[in-house]
Amino acid sequence: MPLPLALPVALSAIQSLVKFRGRLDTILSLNQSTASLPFALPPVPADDAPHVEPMLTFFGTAAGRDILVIRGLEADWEAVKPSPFAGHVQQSLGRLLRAYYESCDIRPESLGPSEEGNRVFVAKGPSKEMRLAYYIVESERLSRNPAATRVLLAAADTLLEFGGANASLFIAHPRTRALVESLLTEFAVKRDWDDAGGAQIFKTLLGSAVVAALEHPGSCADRPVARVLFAALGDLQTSMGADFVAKLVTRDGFQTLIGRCLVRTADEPALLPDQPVLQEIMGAMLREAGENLDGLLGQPGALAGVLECGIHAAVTTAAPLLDRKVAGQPLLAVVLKAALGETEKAAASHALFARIADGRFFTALYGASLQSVADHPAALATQAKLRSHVAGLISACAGEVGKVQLNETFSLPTLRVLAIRALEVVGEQPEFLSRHGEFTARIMGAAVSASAAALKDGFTTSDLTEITEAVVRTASANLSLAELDDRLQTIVAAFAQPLADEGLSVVITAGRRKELFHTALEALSANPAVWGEFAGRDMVQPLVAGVIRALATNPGGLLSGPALVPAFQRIIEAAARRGRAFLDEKTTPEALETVVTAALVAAEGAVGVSIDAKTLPDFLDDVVLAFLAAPFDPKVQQTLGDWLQQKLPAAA
Amino acid sequence: MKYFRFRSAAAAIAGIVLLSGCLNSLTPKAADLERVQELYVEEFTVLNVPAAAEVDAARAPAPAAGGAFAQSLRAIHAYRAKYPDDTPERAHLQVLEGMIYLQSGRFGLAAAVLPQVKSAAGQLTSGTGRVVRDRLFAENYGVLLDGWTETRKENNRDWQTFERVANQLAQALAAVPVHERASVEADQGALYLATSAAVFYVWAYRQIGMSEEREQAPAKKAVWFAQARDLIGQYLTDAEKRADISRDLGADAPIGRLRYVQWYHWLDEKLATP
Repeated sequence: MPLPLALPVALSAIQSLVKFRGRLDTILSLNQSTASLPFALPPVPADDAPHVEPMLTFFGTAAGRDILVIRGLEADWEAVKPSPFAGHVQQSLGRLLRAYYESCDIRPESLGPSEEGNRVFVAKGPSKEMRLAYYIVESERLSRNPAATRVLLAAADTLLEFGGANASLFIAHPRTRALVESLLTEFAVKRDWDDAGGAQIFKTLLGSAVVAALEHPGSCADRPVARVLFAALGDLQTSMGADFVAKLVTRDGFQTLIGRCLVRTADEPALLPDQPVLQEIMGAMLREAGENLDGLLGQPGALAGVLECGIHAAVTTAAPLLDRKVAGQPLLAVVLKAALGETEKAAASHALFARIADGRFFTALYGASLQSVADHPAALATQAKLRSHVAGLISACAGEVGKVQLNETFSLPTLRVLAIRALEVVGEQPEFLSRHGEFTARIMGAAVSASAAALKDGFTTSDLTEITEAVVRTASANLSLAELDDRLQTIVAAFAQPLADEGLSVVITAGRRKELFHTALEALSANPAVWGEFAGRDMVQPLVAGVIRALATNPGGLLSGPALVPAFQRIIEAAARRGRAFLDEKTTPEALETVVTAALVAAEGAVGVSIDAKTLPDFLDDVVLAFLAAPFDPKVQQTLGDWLQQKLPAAA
Repeated sequence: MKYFRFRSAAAAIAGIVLLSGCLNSLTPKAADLERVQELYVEEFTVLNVPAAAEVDAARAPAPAAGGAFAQSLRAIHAYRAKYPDDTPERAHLQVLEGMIYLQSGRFGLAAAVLPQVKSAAGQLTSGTGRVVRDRLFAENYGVLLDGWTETRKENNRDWQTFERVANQLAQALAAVPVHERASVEADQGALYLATSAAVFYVWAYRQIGMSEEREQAPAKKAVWFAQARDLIGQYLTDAEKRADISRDLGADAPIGRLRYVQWYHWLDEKLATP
């Protein structure tokens, strides 16, 4: 029977019960006094009557008499023999019968359902509770009104449990009162409270909501998304049953989800006025989640993560997702199902991907998939096309992840963190993501590889995340880099070299080395075609390494200060600007290294005359451009020295 | 907000961890009563419920000894001391105490509490207007005591006592107005008493077969077994009465009613075969 009271009355009653705890105790204890308890039936007799005459005959024989003597039953025999059926000899008769049964291996029939059969049957019960159930005698209540009483009791009971002394204040506040009201509506007004499963779900959700609200003091929204969540769960209970919903709401992290939904308002413009849509979407996603709790979505944080990710994407993307459907199903849920399936498939083929694919990683992958699909009209045409689109993205990511080499410094958790961050950043570029799924994966691979290189020299995980982000933002903001295909990773890996260079690490700090990497990425963005050609000729690494070695000589400590980063930037930008010199084989990266090294020596000599931290980068820029414009053999030291002297700025 | 001002969040979270502890302090009477019942269930289980591996009938539980239900009884007495007021909860525990004595064969103590158990019936009136389990037990406690006591007699066990007890139980159940009878799905007190009466009818048959009037046994069997069967049948569904008891009914019948269904069919079978 659903709650027969009006909601305002019910809420006031709950508040009263909570306030007057003693009354609640009395109501609860009265309820308890009619609890189901086990009681044994009277013992069942054995059917001894048919055996009396045979027993008398037996003990009349010599063998029988011997047994009487051995067992000391002669007195009983003498008492029974004259009148076996007299009332005063029943005890003796019983002893004689037992002796007779043992001697003749007789088992008298039980006058009732077989005791042995019963014990066998009862013992088959899968649990002690099931076996005990055989003996339970239930009792009807002593109170008058069942459903309303139980709902009110359960609510007050739960609020007291979790809210403690502030339980009555909790329900007095309009916002949290509204929470209880929405739960009562979904799980007591609309549902049958004779179903114990529904009652348990109500109590679990109410408890979680109370705790979540207490964890977000003052942050509860006026119209929290949590109300829609409760409504969606209520619908799910109707369609899938209480057990299905119970598995969801008792999952680790569900309380976190409620907390997030409490502070997240359903008043956001993108969510209004279509709340039924949000409820439908949540219901579809929860159903999907409930059917995958043994897989990825069963991992900590996954459930809350994907739901929040979905809702966030629904309200923040340029193309509205909330009311998009594919084959009649909400887009968010369809993508979730596709992402789950494709992730599991990819995990089966790529061992390393399988190892990093936990709840958080899947949430990031889901978010990227959602963004990718949302901006791709062709992918939304049919479920098959959508799945294919998602499959392309996920299998590409799995392939890139599979190329990463783990070692004692670059561990699985680190890889996971970086991969997640890469997906999150690239997810901020939905247009890019939707059209360059495979390239997205390459970006991720390049970013992670760059970070792996940095791990050798004391960067923190947050530094690595920053590096990863830089790669992803640079690549996704410059569509021409998509033309680089696999060469992108080669280039980025070479740029990551300064991060781990031992020579540089004695010159500048880790933070400055990070800056070198960022400037290298900027140089890549400024001239992707040339760097792409460099990569095709395997020139990127020797070029960058050579420049680094030259800078690491740091004559006179010129580069120990702020000059290093701009110097590096100007050199490699100039090298790319006049990159044709390398590509036409007019000179080599080694020659450039010699020139830059010598230029620094010359610059040291000009310190105090015309060179300082400000003019040094300009000088090096001039040198590189001039050298590449008209390359010569720098091994001729005299020629190089004179040439450099001419390049030095004039005295200030 | 002021109600969030102090560390109620920490208190509430600690409350989750110390769930039962919180509940005990907030509703102590209910918690204490529940604890008594838990002890009773635990001790009942040890005495009567076979473990999954114990299917050997030779190791069937022996009749309860003097120490049986010791913790339950202590808890009942402690509850009475703590909550001295006359309440339905105390009445319930009085009935429970009486049933403990019956089940553990302590008929002297059972006789000693007979007046209190019978008077407890007055506190066990349901607001629904229906007669509930504990009230039925209380009102018929004296009769039950007579029947249980008779089963344990060493000498002079009398079939007429069993017949009287069974008849009295049947009459008591018949005396409950129809509109006051609880639904058997919600309350099995009447079904329990009906089956107890059936057991006593069977005892009567057993005893008459061992008495000077044993030639009456076949005729009495037909009458008593039919009465017993029909008495139980009043509280069973048609499906349960028609069920094929030779198959395992565990998957279909509610486990808690299974023993009554087994008794019904056993009696029916015995009536069918001379």
